[in-house]
Amino acid sequence: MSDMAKTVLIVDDSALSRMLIRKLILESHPDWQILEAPDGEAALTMAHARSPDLITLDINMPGMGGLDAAVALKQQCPSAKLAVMTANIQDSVRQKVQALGIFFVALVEKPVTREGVDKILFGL
Amino acid sequence: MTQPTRSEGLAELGWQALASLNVGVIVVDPDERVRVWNGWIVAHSGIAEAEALDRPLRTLFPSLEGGYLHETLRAALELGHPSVLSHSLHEAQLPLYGLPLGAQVPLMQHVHLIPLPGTPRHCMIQVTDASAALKREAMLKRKARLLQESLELQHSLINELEHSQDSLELLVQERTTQLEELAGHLQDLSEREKAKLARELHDELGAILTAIRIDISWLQRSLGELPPMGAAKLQRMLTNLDRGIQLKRRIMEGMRPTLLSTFGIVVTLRELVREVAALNQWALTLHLPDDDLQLSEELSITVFRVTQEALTNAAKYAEATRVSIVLSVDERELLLAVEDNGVGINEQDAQAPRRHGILGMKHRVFARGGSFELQKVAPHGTRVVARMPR
Amino acid sequence: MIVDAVLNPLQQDTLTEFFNIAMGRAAATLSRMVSEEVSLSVPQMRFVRRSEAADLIGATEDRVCSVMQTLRGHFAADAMLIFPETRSLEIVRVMIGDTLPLEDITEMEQEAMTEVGNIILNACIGTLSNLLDGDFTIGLPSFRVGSCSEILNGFRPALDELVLLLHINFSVERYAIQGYVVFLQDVAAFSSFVESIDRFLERAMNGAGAGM
Repeated sequence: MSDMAKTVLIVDDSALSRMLIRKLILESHPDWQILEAPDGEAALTMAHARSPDLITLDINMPGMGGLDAAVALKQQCPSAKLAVMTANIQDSVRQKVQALGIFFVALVEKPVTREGVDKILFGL
Repeated sequence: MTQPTRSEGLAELGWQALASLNVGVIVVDPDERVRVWNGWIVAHSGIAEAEALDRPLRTLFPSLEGGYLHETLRAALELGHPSVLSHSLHEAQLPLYGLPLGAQVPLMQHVHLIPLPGTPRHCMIQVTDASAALKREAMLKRKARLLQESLELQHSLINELEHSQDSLELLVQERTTQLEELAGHLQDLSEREKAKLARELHDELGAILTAIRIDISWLQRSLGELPPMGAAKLQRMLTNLDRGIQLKRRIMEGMRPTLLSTFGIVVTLRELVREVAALNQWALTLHLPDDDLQLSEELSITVFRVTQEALTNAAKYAEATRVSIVLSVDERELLLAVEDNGVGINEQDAQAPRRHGILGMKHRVFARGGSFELQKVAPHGTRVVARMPR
Repeated sequence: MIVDAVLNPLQQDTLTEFFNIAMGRAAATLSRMVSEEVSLSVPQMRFVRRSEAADLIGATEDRVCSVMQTLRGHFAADAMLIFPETRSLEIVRVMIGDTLPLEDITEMEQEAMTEVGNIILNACIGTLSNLLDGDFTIGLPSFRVGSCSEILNGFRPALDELVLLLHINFSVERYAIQGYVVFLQDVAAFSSFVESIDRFLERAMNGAGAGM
């Protein structure tokens, strides 16, 4: 992992989950920049403006779902690493995520925990 | 010897009741060790109570290890979550068998996991035999399927019946059309024959009779004074000849009204109706077009014949005193109505349309692609209505 | 009175996220049972009067299927899952793979529906009892069919108390139904509720980890 300060975009419709992810990342990397978006559309606008290094995505969101957002985000910022954080982690969901053909650093089950966030950070 | 206390007595009763329950009861402690293993479970598992007590459930039923039932049992023990495991969603959950055990028929079961209050938390596994309910339901579904099948069969039979009824109707329609065409053809043929005959009567017989008349007139003039007998004979000859000529004309007009071909339908119809009305002393109402109509020869003949037939009926059977005729046309259609105030046609005659030439009228109209109706007129009388395309 | 005001947006969001996580777990369990993708989510959560809840649920369909479980302990609550009758029949038949639909729910289907309700309710109840950190005795699920008001008012008729109403989207294969989870609870439970959410948020933000 490089020591350079990174920019992270958290995409989740739940303010609680965004708060928790932000807190757990900042605990490990106080100097990182954290951005938040409540849905896929906002995430695209924000990613365009700020070119984040890491994007965490919730799958179940109103409007553009997490899977569609992943495809669009990957196109917009090919260099960004993506991670999925979801309450719905059935085999079929896993398969759908894998079928996108996008590399995800981690697929983590909610609730948001220290271990889950660490799994993402190790993957960077 | 001491008397058992009341609570000891109750506990004993409880154990007996548990042992003889008609449902399976297993109670396990937090380590999943068996604490209760009732008679029903013994009977259906083949494992004696003494053998089961204090042993972990998963060693008695190794197939449970890591399965869904085991998982929900953990949730019951750790979180106090009670669960229902239905037969429909989980088959043969515990390795239990129907009686006799030797047959090794897996038992259909509903399983309830019921956490027991108290510390540490125990869990009761209650097993009920679902086979009776399953059998009932299977029967119900079989009956429902049979019912559905017989309904489908009935439906397809009805369809088939309707289909054959349709084709039968089609056939009848086709035959009727053929017959009407034939009838029309025969009528046209007979009209043509009549016309030919009429022409011959007119051209040849007419010419001969006229020549004779001229000669007799010449004789009458040139012979001068004849003996009375001779003059009377000559006069009778002339009278008979005139009768012959009259007869020829009547036959001719009967077969093919010369008026029709000479003056057209309106004039002919007016003449015909006036003549018949005068003969029968009817009051007459006529609503005919002022100008003559350009109709095909066939259509003109049909109108004429139908009118003629209707008037014949009125004269022959109806004892009418008043007759009215309507003939009207627009671009597409011709309407002819002949109405009398006679006794009216009775049901029997209407049912036997061959009488009174009704069938004839009908066929003539149908052959022109028209519609024909025989109506009763209040208070009494008959109306014949024919509509035909021009 | 709609009591959105009782919870601030963060509390509201927190509770909704809890329930969504619980539903995710229930969906995973159901999915494994029927080998199909099952999705369960809570698009909306709110507090309403019980009479309003009956109107909200009953507006769409007259007869409903319900599965109820009771909670007894620090406070008393009844948790109830409510689905429209015909749609729930469809979905349970997809799950148990029945090809011949009968007009009425059969015993087996009722058992299966009860189990599905049991799994969803256990997930919700687990979330709540975790949050409230309380010790509860949870009753076995019971199944009932009836009109909405019969179902909702049958248990504690006198009070028109506040209830927690979760709107639920549930789909299996191509079948999707909308249902509700209703918590009928003591008035005392409310303050306790809000306090618990705040305690959780405080714990989570002060580094004690987030045990949802």
